[in-house]
Amino acid sequence: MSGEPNVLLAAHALTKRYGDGPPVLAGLDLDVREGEIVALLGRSGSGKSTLLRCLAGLLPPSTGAVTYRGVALTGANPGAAMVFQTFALLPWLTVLQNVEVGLEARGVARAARRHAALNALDLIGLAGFQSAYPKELSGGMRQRVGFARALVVEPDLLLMDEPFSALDVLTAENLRGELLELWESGEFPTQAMVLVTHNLEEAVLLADRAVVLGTGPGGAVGTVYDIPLPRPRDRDAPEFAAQIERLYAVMTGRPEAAPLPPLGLRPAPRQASDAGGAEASGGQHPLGAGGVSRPGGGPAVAGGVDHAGHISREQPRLRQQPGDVGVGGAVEDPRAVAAREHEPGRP
Amino acid sequence: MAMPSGAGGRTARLAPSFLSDAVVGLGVLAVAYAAIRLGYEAASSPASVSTDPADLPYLAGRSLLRMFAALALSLVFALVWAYAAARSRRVGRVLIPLLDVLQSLPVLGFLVVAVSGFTTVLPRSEWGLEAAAVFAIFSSQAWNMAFAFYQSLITLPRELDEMARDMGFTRWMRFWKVELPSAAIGLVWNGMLSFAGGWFFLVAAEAATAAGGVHALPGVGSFAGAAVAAGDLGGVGWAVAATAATVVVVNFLFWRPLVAWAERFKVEQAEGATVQRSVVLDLLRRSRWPRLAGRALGLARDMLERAGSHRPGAGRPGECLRRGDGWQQNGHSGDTLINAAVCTSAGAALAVLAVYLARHPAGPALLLEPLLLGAVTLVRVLVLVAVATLVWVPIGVAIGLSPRLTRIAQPIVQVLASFPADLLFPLATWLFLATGAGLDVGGAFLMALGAQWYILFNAIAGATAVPADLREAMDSLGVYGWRRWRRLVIPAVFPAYVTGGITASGGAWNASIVAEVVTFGGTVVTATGLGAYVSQAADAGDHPRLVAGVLVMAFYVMALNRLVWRRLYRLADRRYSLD
Ligand SMILES: Nc1ncnc2c1ncn2[C@@H]1O[C@H](COP(=O)(O)OP(=O)(O)OP(=O)(O)O)[C@@H](O)[C@H]1O
Ligand SMILES: [Mg+2]
Repeated sequence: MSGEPNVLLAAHALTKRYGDGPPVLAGLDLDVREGEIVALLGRSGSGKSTLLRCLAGLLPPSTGAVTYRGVALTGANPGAAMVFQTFALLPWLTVLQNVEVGLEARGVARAARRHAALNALDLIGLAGFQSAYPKELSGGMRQRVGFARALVVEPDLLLMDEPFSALDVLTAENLRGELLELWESGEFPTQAMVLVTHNLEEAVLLADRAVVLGTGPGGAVGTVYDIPLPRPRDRDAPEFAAQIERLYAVMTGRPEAAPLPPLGLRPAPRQASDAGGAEASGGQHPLGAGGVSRPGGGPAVAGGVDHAGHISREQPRLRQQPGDVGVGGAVEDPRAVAAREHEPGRP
Repeated sequence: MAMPSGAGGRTARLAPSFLSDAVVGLGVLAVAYAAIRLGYEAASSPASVSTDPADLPYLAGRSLLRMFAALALSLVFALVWAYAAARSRRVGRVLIPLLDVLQSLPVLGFLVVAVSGFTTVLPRSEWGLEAAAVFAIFSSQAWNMAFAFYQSLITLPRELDEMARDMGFTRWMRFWKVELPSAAIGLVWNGMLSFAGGWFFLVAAEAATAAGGVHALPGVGSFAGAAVAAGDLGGVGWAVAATAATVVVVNFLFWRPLVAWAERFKVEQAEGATVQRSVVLDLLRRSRWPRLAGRALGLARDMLERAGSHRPGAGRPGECLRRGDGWQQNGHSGDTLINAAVCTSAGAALAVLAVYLARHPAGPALLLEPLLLGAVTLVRVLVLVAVATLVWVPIGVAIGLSPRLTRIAQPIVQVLASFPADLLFPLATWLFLATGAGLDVGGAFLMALGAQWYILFNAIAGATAVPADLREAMDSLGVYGWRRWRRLVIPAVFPAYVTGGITASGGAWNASIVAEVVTFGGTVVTATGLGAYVSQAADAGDHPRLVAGVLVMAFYVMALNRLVWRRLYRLADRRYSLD
């Protein structure tokens, strides 16, 4: 299968168990092709992170193999870079040094890697922060560093384990939108992305295919669903809602015509209409001054939400959203960080 | 706060000043000059013992040089040994148990042998004495530090390990940018405590050379030793004062700044933990020297890189040393070699000892006496640990739970722990002689003088680490008094306490060698116990009995560790670990 020219990464009959524990993955097959985004979905503990780490070559499979461009992995995947849920930045290095490490490991000369790292910081909206330490940044900014570090080595594959789930909803929304914009703009160095997420809307917004890990006999098996929506995707479109509906049904094992899901997975209408009002007035988001965290961390943010719980806002316009200002920072660091988060990184 | 676009993040916030530049510059020059001068003296001048208090600053300097030489050696040893043990499980399986054995050998019992060994090997007898003293300090520090670094290598935070492998870090990058920084805090604290413990051995080693007669190492310990031999209580007092001053100065100028500096290597900001501060570090940060030095180092590195050491894909990828996951570590080519070498030398040493003991006329009966005496010392050690626990754990917890008290008490405890208790032995002996109290009970007290601090220190550390939210939860549930102790405090402090207990009991065994026989101005007071047995055998040059005594003591230490402390440790890990 890896003979196909456009398959970048392939897992073949992949099984994994930790030590003597129960099997986690039960013979998974998966192809990741050039130009596509694959979302890994599944309940907590279903083995998404395990699968991603096998794809990254960080965990050896128990049986089966992962091949990158037709070559079976025997260590860290040379074509992949990872973005971590908890950022995994080195706290003793500055932002610039953190972004440079991948290039340094590849033996790039100092001047060249500095140049490349500054460009990556610029691209990801962190220009001017190169000499800050991770501790001084808000969560959203830290994850930007995580993205810059992964992108600067120009990996074929970007692997992400819940990259947005440690961020508050607004910050996550911004970063997600920017990532998508970069991906669609064509200036992206990366050929394919694999993303672990708990957020169905995020999966439908980003992915061309979704792999749902479900428990089979002897570990998780994956079922692949195509998400054949045109890009840029319109969250208002009924097809968008239908895709979410379908994945939701798959994951809960309900028939597709199921009633609305319970609270937590989707926002409650009342909160949603508040948010809608703010959006309509085009001014400060009422939640912007205080905390934004909402139980469940559902996808709805500063946007109108219709009765089915779908966000009706356009994709976030990057950094120009006045309602965004200060939210990422205000939650995590009440001092000046708020201003930084939205300091336009590039002209 | 302005945009941190300039150089130096947090540190840049202290405004540079000319005064701090000058102070730091002069200070560095003074320390460098003193070190070179003292080093030169150590290498060239004949060993002699002084009894003039005016010489004490010089003598303290010589002692200090030995301490730092031993610390540097211990650090190098710890890094190499721990890395070798972590890199290959096969090698680790040999090196780690061996560390355990080395740790339980009573160094002070070996002192006499070490002195004669080093003096025959080295061309000048003063060098032999220096080497023996440094070795005694080294062996009180190195095992601990090696174990601390090993632990941190194999328990590296998972995501940092994954990041390093994912980014393709070379072996050197992995070590320099990930493993060493994440071990830094542990290494610094461990080094500080080991250094504190080292003073005890320094004094013992120097005093031993002074008592030996012909040659003596110039130092505070030999000064005190000479004063003791002469029955000069005032001289002992001078030595005590000089040592106390040295300990305080070293803490102020070296350890506090180092501990405060190591804060930057915190992986995450643990809430409730006190922030370490140091006036000296602030001064350093305020001056422009570190930045200049940093820039010079950067330039040097640039030049090295440009010289061509960097080519694409340079360096071999670092391996996962973390235990648990990662690709199967294939054996390394050197593994068998290392293991063979280590096993052969350990086996040879054992065989030599066995033959040696077997050829003694008394035969295996030789071991009987030390075994019986060991039981007496064991009782002393157990009583000491129990009493120290009852006294110091509540006090330590009270200190640790209050950030303000911790800030005040921690440096004080550190100084108390550093102060070599054996310097006080003569004073205590004088007291025992004056009051007529026997050394059989007093010996336990002397052993406790040095060992108790580990328990206090760890109780404080354990209590500081109790998460604030747990305490708040107890407050809100109205859990106070004994119930609170049982439900929160004891379980939370337990793991740290066990660590302190192991160190204290090991230290007490070692101290028994100098605590069960004390002399003062020709009067010798002896207690019944294994320490006295070893000490007397060493003085008499009765090597078979010395070897038997040392072996039996190591056996007792290991047995106690395995039967008691190790089990408590596992219990702590399983039930009471806070993460
Ligand atoms: N290092 C490990 N050692 C042993 N078992 C593990 C390890 N990591 C994960 N597991 C087990 O493997 C299973 C799958 O874990 P994994 O982290 O891949 O799930 P996940 O889908 O990513 O879950 P979540 O959504 O909560 O992140 C779980 O049952 C977990 O307990
Ligand atoms: Mg996971």
